[in-house]
Amino acid sequence: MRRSDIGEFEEIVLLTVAVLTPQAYSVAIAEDLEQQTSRTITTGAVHAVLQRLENKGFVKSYMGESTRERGGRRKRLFTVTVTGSRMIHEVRAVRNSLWDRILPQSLPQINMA
Amino acid sequence: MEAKNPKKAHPPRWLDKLLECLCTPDLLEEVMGDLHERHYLRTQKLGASKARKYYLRDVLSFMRPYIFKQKTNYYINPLQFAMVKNYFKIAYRNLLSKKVYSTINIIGLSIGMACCLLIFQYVAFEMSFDRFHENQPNLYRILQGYARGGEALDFGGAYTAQALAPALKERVPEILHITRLHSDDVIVSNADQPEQVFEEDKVLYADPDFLKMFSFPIVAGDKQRALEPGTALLSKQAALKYFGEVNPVGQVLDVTGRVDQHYHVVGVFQDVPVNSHLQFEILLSIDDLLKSEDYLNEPEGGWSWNNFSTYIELHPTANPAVVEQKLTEVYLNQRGEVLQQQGFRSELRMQPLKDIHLNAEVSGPSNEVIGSSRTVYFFTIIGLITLCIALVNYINLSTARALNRAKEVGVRKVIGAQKRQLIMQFLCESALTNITAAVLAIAVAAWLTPVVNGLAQTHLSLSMWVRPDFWLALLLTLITGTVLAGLYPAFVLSSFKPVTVLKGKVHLFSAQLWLRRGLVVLQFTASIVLVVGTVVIYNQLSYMRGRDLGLNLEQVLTIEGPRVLPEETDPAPAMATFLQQLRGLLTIEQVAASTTLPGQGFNWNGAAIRKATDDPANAIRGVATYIDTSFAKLYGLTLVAGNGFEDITLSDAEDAPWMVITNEKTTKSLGFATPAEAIDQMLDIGGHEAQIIGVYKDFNWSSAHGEQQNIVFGHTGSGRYVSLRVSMHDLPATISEVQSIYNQLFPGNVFNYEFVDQAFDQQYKNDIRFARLFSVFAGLAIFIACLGLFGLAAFTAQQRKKEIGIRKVMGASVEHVVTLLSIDYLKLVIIGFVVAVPIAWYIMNLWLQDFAYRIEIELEVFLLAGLAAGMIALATVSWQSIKAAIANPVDSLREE
Repeated sequence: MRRSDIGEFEEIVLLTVAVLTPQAYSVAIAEDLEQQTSRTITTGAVHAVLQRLENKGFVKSYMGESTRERGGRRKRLFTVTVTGSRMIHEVRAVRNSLWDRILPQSLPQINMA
Repeated sequence: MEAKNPKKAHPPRWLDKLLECLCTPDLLEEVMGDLHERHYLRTQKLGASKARKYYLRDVLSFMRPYIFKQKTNYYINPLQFAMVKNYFKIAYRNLLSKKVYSTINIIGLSIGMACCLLIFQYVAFEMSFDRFHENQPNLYRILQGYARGGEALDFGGAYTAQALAPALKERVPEILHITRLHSDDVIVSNADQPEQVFEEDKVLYADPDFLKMFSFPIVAGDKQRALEPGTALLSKQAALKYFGEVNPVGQVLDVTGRVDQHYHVVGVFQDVPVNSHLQFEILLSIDDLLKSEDYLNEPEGGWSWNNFSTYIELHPTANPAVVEQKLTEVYLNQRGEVLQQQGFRSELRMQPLKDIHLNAEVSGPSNEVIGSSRTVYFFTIIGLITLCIALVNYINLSTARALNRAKEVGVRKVIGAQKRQLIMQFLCESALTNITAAVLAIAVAAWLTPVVNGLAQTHLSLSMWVRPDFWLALLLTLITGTVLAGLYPAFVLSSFKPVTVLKGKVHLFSAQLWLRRGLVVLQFTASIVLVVGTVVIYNQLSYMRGRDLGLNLEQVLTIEGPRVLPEETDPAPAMATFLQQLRGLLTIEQVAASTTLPGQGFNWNGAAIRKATDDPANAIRGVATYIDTSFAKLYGLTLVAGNGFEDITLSDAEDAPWMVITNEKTTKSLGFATPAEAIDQMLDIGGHEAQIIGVYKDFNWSSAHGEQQNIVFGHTGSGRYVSLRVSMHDLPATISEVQSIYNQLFPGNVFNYEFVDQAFDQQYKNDIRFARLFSVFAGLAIFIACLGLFGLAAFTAQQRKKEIGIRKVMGASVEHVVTLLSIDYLKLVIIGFVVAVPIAWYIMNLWLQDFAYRIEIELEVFLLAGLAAGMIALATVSWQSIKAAIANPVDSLREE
């Protein structure tokens, strides 16, 4: 497996980090994803993915401020690195080109709300 | 916004704890923070109870490999080695500064360990018997068990008939090798020096397979010819004895015994190791023994006399249980009918070679070294008890002194020592004490080995020291000792709270006090049991040795008759001449002849005796021996009915019945109401017709181990043994006179004499040995226990110095103070005594079961032992108490 490989969930988390920066940390990401996907997202799953993304060099982290809800513990905040940014851009390019090549009649019609 | 119920708002604490345990420290903060924040958010959204469910799920979602603590220690502490060094340094200083306690601990432990080492040597030696044979796992001795009617089979003897081995070899294919053995004592001389004769009682007759089965290596000579008829093999030592520096191979040896023959020495074998149950110096072919007229004419084709032991080597793949059955089948095939006629059942069994030595219940016909597994167990336990008593000393003294160490513990804790480190420290101290004791113990054991050998006639040797398992055992003792003795004090000492300790408030918990007292009670229980044991053993021993035998053995000298007679000399008249000449000596009061002597068994064991009219199935088992007309008078046998041999004229007629005299027990066993009723009754003794002419009052022919037997005496004119009642006046002159007559009449024989009472006492050799060893260990045990008590008493006296000072100032007398200090310990000894009495009573009764004639354990024994223990304890304690009591109160109160 190449280090630059990225899974679907990883991609989504990476995008969410980009969305939420500068307040991107596991709880915020998990809550946001839960809202977006209406699935239960456990904190541990998000934390693990962030850990992995950091190992791959797509995000970097630093310790942020502490809050009362956290029992006075600091949070780890994440931002997207250049490599990370390149990766999501590449993924997006691949997707876009794929979308562009889909003929209008190929997909069954659905109604997006 | 604040949750309504703060308790519910908080996530489950046990999950947090769990996470704290599992999570690596550098992730813990963010993870825990995340979890708590999420929980807070969920509580807001979904309510407390749902949030708690989600919390569990969340925690579980974190259980991934990267989150767990790694095995490798992140913080390798470079100080650890330095700390261990420091522990040993402090331990060493403590040892030096508290000399009395250190000495008590080390001496106690080293004596305990030395006991263990000695006992280990003894046990290892006893267990090593016959293990040196390469084929040992496949070697067995055949036991033959007999029973009559419904009795259980008695496998007490390893005696088999000569015809058994050939039959088995032919019909049992699993048997690789088989040999018959028979040991004998004979007269031996170098054929070139016929005037130098030796009596040799370690001669073994064997089949040629013998050397293939057992590992007795031949070091010189011709292996091929070994154990051929007419050849002899000598041990190195025997070769030296008979041929000196001359090469023994090719020399000729004259042997006089059951068969007289010249033997060509064809080889020399390595001296038989002491840990072999078979002991022999000369090895001869069994074919030569079987050539003797006795065996050539043996009735029933060699099946009638069970005079041989049979050893087999099985094929390595054979199943012993199957072979065992086959053996019995083959045997019963041959002998089943005959046995049935005599009303016997019989079975053969195989006894593994390694089990022979420690199985004293089975006796064999060969010269055997017999040990006792019970003795081995007894001493193993005693050794462990001694060691435990020493370990208890260490525990007691270290916890007692804990108070003095409390400040040190406090300071260490304040500086940052963890409990684990403190435990480590105190274990190091225990290790140091134990190691010092072990080194001393080795020295003590080495020094004691010859002493114990002398006392107990054991063969302990320093060669044990080079064995790896010995060092392993020592290491094991050391580690268990260190941990057992060190762990409890380590926990007690390391659990002090620094704040209270440094304030100067230390109280010993009552639990510790109770434990210490309990341990002292335990020590004294063990010691008193050992002391009672010693007293009982010695009482039993002196009872056995001083018991009225019904035989007068005093001043009786015995001589063995000649083995070799000049050619064409008739043995009977030669003996008669000898007896006649002895009777002529002034210093000899009485002379008698017999075929065996008191304390040395009988000629005929296991004879079936019944009334002539009775059914063979009702026969009783008895023993027989032959005496002459003067024997009864010399040994003081008294008739209760009928006549002795001296009172009647014995008929020489061929058809005259065999005249016998029995003991009372026999007449009772046969069912006669009174001895008088038995007189003139006809008996059948092993197929011979016999008539009872007299009945002797019961007497004890053998040691107190065995029950009274059914004894039958037949008459003989001569007999191999001559008993002389001599006057003790100028004994050496008498003996030399007897010797000169002997040498003159029987040239070429060895003159041996013995005092029959001493020879009789030889039967108690093992018991005496046991008693001596036991008392040594009991003495050591109580000594160690007292050492501990001494230490505790010294400590208490030290602690209560001020109290005693004040008491004295207030007017307490010395006696009062001594009583005050001693009474506590005396109480413990008394409790120990109370606990010890039933234990000792039970164990010693178990031991006494071994003796047919035994003492009752009387109350006095316990009182004596208790009193002795109490006195010793009191002496130990009062030394310190008196010292404390007579001290000037000014000295103890002036300080501060």
